[in-house]
Amino acid sequence: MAKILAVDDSASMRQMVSFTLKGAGHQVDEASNGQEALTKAKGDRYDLIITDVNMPVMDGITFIRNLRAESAYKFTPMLMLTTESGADKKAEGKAAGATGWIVKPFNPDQLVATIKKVLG
Amino acid sequence: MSVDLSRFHGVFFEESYEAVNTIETGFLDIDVDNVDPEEINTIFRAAHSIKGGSATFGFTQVAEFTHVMENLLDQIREGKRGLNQDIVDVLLGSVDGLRAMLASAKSNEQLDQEEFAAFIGPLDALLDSNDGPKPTPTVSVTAAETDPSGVTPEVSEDEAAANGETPVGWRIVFTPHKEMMQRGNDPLRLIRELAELGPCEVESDASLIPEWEHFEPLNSYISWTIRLNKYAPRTSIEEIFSWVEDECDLAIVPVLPEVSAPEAAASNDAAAESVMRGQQNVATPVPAGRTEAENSSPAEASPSPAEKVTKAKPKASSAPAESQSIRVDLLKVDSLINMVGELVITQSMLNMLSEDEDLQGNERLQQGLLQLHRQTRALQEGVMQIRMLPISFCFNRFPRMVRDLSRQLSKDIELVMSGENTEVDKTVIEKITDPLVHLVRNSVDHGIETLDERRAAGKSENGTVYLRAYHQVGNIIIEVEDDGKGMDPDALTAKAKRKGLITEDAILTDAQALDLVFLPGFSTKEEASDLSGRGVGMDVVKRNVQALGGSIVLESELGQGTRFTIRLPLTLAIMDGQLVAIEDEVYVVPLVSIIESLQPYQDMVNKVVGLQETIKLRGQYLPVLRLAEALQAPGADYQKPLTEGIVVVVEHENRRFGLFVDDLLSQQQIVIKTLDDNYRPVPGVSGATILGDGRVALILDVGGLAQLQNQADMNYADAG
Amino acid sequence: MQTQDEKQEEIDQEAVEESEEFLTFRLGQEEYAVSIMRVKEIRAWEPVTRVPHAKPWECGLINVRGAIVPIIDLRKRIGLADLTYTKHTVVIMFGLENAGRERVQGAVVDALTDVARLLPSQVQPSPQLNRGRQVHFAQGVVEHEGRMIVMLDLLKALDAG
Repeated sequence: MAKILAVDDSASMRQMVSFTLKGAGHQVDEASNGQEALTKAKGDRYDLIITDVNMPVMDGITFIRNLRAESAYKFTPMLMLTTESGADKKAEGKAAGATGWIVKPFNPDQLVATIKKVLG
Repeated sequence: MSVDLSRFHGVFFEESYEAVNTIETGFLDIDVDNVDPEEINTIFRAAHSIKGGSATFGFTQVAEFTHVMENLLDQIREGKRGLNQDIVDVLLGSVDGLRAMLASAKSNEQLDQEEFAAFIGPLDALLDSNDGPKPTPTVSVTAAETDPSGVTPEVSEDEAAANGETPVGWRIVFTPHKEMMQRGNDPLRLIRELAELGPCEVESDASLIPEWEHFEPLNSYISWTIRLNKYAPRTSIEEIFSWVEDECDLAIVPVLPEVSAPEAAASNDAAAESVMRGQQNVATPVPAGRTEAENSSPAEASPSPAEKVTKAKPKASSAPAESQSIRVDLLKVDSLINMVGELVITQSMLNMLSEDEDLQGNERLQQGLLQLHRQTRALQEGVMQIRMLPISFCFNRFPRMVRDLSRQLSKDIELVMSGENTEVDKTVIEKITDPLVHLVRNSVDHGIETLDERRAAGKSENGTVYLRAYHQVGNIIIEVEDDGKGMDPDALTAKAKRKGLITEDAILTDAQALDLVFLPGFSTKEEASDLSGRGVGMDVVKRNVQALGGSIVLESELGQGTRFTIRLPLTLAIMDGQLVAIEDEVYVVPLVSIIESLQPYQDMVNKVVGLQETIKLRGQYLPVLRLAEALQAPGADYQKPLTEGIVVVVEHENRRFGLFVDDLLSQQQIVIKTLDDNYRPVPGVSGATILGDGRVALILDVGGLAQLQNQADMNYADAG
Repeated sequence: MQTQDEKQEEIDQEAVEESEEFLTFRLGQEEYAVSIMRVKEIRAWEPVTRVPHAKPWECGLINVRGAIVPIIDLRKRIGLADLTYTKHTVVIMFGLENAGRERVQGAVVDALTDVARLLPSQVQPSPQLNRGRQVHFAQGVVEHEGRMIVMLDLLKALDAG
């Protein structure tokens, strides 16, 4: 069981991620943009971050860059949820410190399988 | 574990409709000659968000459509495509398409191919018209049965072809770059994943671990050679390393069957060569589906993404913070409001009981009751607030509507809105929308003149329609105004006579003539145009407004313009009422309708032609309606002199008249209940409430009484 | 295979199941019955709020736990003479399904008499009493413990049909 922060401006996606991971036995908190997520993550300790890329206020990549700079989150897996199959967003995310990505659309089973691998 | 995705559909549709509105508003506001990148970004994000959700939840059409939209928007965003009014038109058209697709997706259907083609056609045409980049192929939609590992069970052709044989396993040389772990990727995890493909032999090379004083604990120094002793598709191995391909050196070399153990040992050089090849392989991006995507956004053609993000940031952070909200079933809110209503009644009952002489002296009880009174009101107001929404929920549609209509009519019309954040009861918003649509259409269609007419009249070519909302003591006022040609009272009167709506010899004031517009069967243009003449007339507008407990007033200046003013109660559930008595019956008069109350002196009272009673108030004669008579109160004296009771002066739609009652009682906030639930509507009565003693009191409908008064006027006119 | 007796028993069984409970009450000299399924509660007479433009048999409105409920005088409705309300005067509250929602209405009757189990199959067409309106509101008559009870056509009486 891990403590996970799910970040997405879309409520349906957020709920889907959150519901699925809770169903897999994890503890999940939600945030609807990067800024909110950053505040939450700094005030807490998460084992895994899952974030959308395109969000208002603060996008996912900026969020990852900022959070990765925190010493508490040096090794924490951070995954981007992205519909961009193009390389630039992934590369940009990686450069910012993302661990990897999950390409939308994904189904709950794929999500759980990926998370399971990342958490070992 | 299986998750039923349909449980998220409700939320998806709600947010998608919001996103569609964002796209629409965005394009309506956009200045094509001076595009603010943040505006396009917002629109892009909205389309992108619908695409992500629809693909996830299996709404193929919506996903396919938004994908094409997104491509187009991306080109605009990246500055690869200029924006002009035609493109905005196409994109606004696609907003309609999206709404239609969402609506059918909601009922688990799809648009038929023709409809879909009609919507996506213009987008495709636009994309094709460009010599610029081609869109990527349509987005894939997840299906529940997709293999979770994402592995394609095919042998890569080049592997098989190169040796004419399928490899029996792989040799993988994996050298993480120093900082790999600092992005959350654990080398051991990757090796564990490899082991899931088949039995592995792993050798580690720790030779690069530095001396202790140079050792940096955050770095990775070890490299591994893994021999996977079972065939697996190359792609499934690449998949495992896909997240770290830029953070490690990786070589994936097939192990072929004829290579026997001794030879393998002797072929170290060959393996080294393979490693080199493998690395090159990895360095050039090969994963399927990637090359095309990359074509669509060559890195050198746009500012670096990182730069873009930082540029966008200051603006984004200055945007107002999004308020947190929850979605609640309206039924729950209404049942809460009802309960609070009951509480208010109980509280006023306690108040009444406390007026008992024995309790008057009980200071602490009285204080407690006063506190209960205040808290109950606060609770009630708070709960009512839940039902309130900004009127922008209704106003939002108008910019688009006015724009489309004026283009259609070749008029140049600007819509100026104010007070969009004015809050009103949700039910008011629902019920006022249709009447407002009618009024705005009317202004655009009939009110504002054609360009030629305006020029001829010496007016500016562009007409203006104003849509305003604001609060005014317990009411919300909505105005629809235009600077068009106005209405001619004489023409209206003549038309009403022609239609037999009034008698040939009727003489009307200008205000009365304008009022004719609200008569059933009257319409301002001879032939109903396809824009305004959709079966709804002004009479329906007026009826709808009145059904909400409101009123509508029309003012017009020939050649200058027309203004409709709608006055609505803030909420439909509570109001401030003046209790009045007729004999031992108690009625409620809405406080907002009351101008003043007075006991007339003898010299104020007049009886015209022995029929209509009036009082003269500050030089103005006001007709007086005897409530006892109008409400058929039994046992009441219908001849009681006006000087022996109270005249409550009320106003309805700019007309004032008096209501004659026996006495004025208290003023209090009352909970409005409808009579229709168990009974039927009663003329002159808008509803009922429950008083502190538990009795039912009827709420008078000043508008309805005004009509009774009108009929009295008519009688008077007939007699005179 | 069923025997003749078993079949008969089944029929008897059905007959028992079909019998319904009825609330009986007095209006003038006659006893009337309505299905108990329609009855929500019985209340004592209480002052009502008069409604303008009401029908002669409509008494007015009362507050029943926050709901506004109309009350009619059933005596007047079926054309009997007025009667002063007494402490025995009761109001029967009826719930009537209408277009998917329940409308609540009350009716003043002289006095309650009984709750009786009656068989709808025993209802006979009303004899032509030739008393004008009264027959109009009767669905039929049924005999119960030696008394004749009129089955009231509730929907018609309450103008809810």
